[in-house]
Amino acid sequence: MNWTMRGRCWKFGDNLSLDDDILEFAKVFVEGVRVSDPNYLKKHVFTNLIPDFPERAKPGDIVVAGKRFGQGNPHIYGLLGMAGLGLGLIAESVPHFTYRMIVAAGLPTLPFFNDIGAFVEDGDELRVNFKTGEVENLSRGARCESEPLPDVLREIIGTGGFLPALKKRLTDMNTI
Amino acid sequence: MGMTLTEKIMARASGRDKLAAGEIVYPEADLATIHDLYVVEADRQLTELGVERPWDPERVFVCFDHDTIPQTVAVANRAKQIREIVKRWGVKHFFGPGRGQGHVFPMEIGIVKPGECVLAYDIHVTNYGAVGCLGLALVFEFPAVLATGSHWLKTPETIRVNLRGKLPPGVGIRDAAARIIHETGPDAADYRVFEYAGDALAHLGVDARVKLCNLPIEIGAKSAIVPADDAVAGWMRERNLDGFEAMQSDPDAVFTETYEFDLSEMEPTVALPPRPENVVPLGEAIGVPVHAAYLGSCAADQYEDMAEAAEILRGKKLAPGVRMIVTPGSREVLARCVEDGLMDVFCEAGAMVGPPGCGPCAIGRGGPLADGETCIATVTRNDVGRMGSREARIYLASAATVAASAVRGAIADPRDFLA
Repeated sequence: MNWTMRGRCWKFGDNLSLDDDILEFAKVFVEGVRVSDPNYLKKHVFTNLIPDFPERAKPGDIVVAGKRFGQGNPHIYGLLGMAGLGLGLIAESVPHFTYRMIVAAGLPTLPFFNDIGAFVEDGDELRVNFKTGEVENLSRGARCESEPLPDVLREIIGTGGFLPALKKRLTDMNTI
Repeated sequence: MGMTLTEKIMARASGRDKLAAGEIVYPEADLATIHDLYVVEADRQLTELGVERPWDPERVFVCFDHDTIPQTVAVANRAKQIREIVKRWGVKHFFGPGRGQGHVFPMEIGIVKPGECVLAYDIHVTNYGAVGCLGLALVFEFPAVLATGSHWLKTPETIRVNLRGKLPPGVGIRDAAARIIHETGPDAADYRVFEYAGDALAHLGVDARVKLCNLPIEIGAKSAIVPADDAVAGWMRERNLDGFEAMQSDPDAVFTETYEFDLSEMEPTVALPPRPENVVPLGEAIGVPVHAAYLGSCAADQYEDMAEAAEILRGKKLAPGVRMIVTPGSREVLARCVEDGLMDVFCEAGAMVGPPGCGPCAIGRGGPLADGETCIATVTRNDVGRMGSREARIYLASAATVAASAVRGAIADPRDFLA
């Protein structure tokens, strides 16, 4: 996996909710059954905030959020949709359960980046190295960094998220 | 150094003698619980992993509590599919629709017991803390538990919450629980277990303890627990359930923080939309007109909740233009409401009684809110869209406040009805 991403900054505020701001929970259901396919979910990411977000967002773009990104019932679906769009995520903070779901969704992230909001504006061009924690603001010629994810969690993201990582574990355990 | 109750339960489930907060372990589930909204998805994921049956079908619990009465053919077809999957899996603890809410009735019939470690799909498994059982949710990662019986978990730190005093009349334990999560707040609660202690527990039975264990998850706590004591033993004896070995935190266990609350100083509260931690004194919302009132969900569907609401509703009618839905938490709760005349009170007031289960708390199932409507409810959360329309507003309150507001047609103080 290439841990460096380059793209547009989509800047949001604090307390984005998993079940409405990031992806409206009712849209997870198709014919009464929940769908966890990122290719379906990506069509509904952030549409309650920016109706044409899925069309405008490009792989490599970076979502920059404030404090408690993904608060609420820790449904993973919006995070899977973000991964489906090929986005990266930087936040000032995330609740622990959401942190776990971000890893499970295979979404590259720097989840506890102090004051990142003061460093970027919506529309800036960013280059982010999720392995080292370094962020370059190409629009402003500035750089800053935060602690990257521990290798053990980054490896789960690199494998593609929870299910591929579990599959590998089961193979390693030789239980199937 | 001693261990907290949570550390003890997780150590035992992980085959360890000692365990400290922060250590990552793979506790094996004494019981693994999932509900109807998730079974098909779980089976798809297991199939993708090449797993045909759960690691130990004797320890798997499945119940229909979200879509109790299918509203569409698609949902009915899914229900049929769930029954086929459950049969193929060989699930020992399977309960169809109408049996009850999955975070309530398993305690009443002894499927979950003090000292056990339950791993769950759904976050409200923390309810089991009311009988001294540790409930830990894994949501999307739950297939790991079905496949192997376990998954990695970081041992959480514990917050001690000491309660003293007795609640004044008209103030529900839900009000106290709301005040507690408001004062601790999301930052302190994040990934910690709330462990309750103090003299007040002598007056708080299992029904009350469920509220104390249900609310912290809404602000990010990992779980909540009350050490099982004589009150739990008595409650279990009434239900002909086996006894248990008492477990509690060691005197020198490490608690990250300790909070003190005096229940005698509690007042009615309401959580303003759209977040459960937006708790304010009820006075700040008095008079807000309501279109719908709902009593139920795993946060308030036990007998004491029903009785608390019935005390207000007795001999009264719902305000014109207000509809009210009541969903008892289990067949046992429903039967007792019938025996004790509570059902008459609800019916005479004009309330509708739905089948035991999650009710409209599950994204409006069986009674969604319309655009522009306001609901006063005992549900778990008040996010945008939680009970239907994204243009509806949900105020969270105690069973008594929900009942008082339904009668008044606007958010009202239950103490005004207890003269």
